[in-house]
Amino acid sequence: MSETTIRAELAGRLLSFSVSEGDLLEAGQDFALLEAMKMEIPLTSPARGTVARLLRQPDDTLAEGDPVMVIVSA
Amino acid sequence: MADEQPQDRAAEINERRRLGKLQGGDEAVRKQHARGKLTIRERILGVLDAESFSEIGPLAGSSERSDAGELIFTPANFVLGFGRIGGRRCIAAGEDFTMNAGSPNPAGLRKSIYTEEVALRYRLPLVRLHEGSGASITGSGGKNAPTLPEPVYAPNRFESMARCLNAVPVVSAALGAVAGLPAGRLAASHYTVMTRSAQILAGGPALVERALGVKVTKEELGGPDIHARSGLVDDVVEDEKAAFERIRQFLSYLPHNVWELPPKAPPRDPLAEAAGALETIVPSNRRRTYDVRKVMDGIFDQFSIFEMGRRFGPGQITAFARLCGHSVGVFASDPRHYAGSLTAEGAQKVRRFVDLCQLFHVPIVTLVDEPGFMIGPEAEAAATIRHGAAALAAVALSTVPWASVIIRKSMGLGAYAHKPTGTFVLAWPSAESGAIPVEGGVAIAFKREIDAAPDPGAKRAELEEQFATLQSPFRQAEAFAFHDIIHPVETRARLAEWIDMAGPKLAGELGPPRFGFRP
Repeated sequence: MSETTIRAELAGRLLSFSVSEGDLLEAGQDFALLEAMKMEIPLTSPARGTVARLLRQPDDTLAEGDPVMVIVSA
Repeated sequence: MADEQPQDRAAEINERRRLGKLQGGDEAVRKQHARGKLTIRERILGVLDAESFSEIGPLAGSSERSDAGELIFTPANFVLGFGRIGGRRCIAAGEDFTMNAGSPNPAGLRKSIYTEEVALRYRLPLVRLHEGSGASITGSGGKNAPTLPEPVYAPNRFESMARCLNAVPVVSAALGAVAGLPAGRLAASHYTVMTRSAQILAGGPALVERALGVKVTKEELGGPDIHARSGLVDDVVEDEKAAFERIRQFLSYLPHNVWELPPKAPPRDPLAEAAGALETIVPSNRRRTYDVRKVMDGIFDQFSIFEMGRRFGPGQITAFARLCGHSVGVFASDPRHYAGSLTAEGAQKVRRFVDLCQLFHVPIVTLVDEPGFMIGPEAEAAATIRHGAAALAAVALSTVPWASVIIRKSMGLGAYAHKPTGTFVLAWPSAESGAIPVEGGVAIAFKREIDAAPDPGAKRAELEEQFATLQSPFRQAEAFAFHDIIHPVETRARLAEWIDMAGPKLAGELGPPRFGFRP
């Protein structure tokens, strides 16, 4: 079991997560929505795994590279 | 020597040739490999086509005789020669790090200085493979033989590097620690790549600590994590082999020099699914984004897209590609980064890219989703408008053919970064054009009406809807503001027709640019 910290690849305001702790996430799957410059931009998981911890909450401002979620892969 | 026979000389040539290839000796070569790095000779052979390397000055170096009369030969620690990449001639060169960490010995310095001269003289692309820190304070003669300062009539060392940039494609790779003059030379290129185990710095940790009292490692100063985002290099790659592949691919889009047209390759259709996906790729919800790289996949020849500088100014994508075999430059907005607005870094990247295409006669296709210059406190502090103006100037004076496909927004001053005079303009049905985006525009111009309305939210939405209609592509087409509105699936065919008609004029515009290319 290894933990991977997923970071925001874009900057913006976090609108919502579309996953919860315990959910299984596929690589390439959207897991959150950001808002920047009036656009809604999905964040995509680069890896497959189970969501262990959500590190931020809706309305937080994220900078590019900020950690947002930890997943564990078997 | 009076009693020397011709066969002695012949034998000596062969012996010197053999000794000239030994670089720093077996132990030094072993150490280089142990650090996970190739030698300069292996690098040159790795980037060039097999058996194409024809070395220049292989016998440059210094020699002495042992007491037993045996020849002790120290080669120049800089290797240079002609070669081929993809069958096309070029020059390849680089420091020999196994000898004195690449700090040039006298013969090495001479070959190093000659590198740009030979590329200019033969008008051939130049590939430089760097690992080294440049001159030592002791000079090229070493601790015991101080070198004379250069005479006042010696040319500026950077002059030939700058001239090269206006004549031939120049490509550099940082394959280890690169500091000092080699770092400046590395940056004086059209395309620069570094490996994950390389660093690029003006001064190393010892100098930095001495001058600034700050203790940092060379990775922290100038490693790949710094430079992928700083804009110093175009790309970071995993290893040396990947660097060679990127170099080879970069050169494949460009001519040997500015006096020639870019080479044409056999055409190759995009994947049918990628092309078909264009019809529905732009969401009807105007707040939703799409992946513009998938749009590129549906337009250009399959496997032909070569993106550069992805992590610097990510809201603007700059890439080479092929359109039915023709080399094109692609400048696309990425709406996932601040809605694709033009940032200071993006503008710097675009300015450089447009100049590169102009230099080598490469037509440009731009995929437009441009809300305008980036706004906000950080954007202003970064002098976005100045960098934007530089990009706009490069675009406005560009004489290569341009075609623009308006995917969605085309707004503000930023819109002029996508359409120099004479651009062939196609619009998708999702195109929106205007001075400023509807949301911002309405909020400003109708503030009083909105605040006074019984339901301000609904009033604002109503006004936004009304103005969105004015920005519709059909109204623009009626005014002959576009050449045409097209179904997205028609994009490749229309652009293919365009480049067929627009391409031939380039043959009449060969030769050096009217501007000096600035790295």
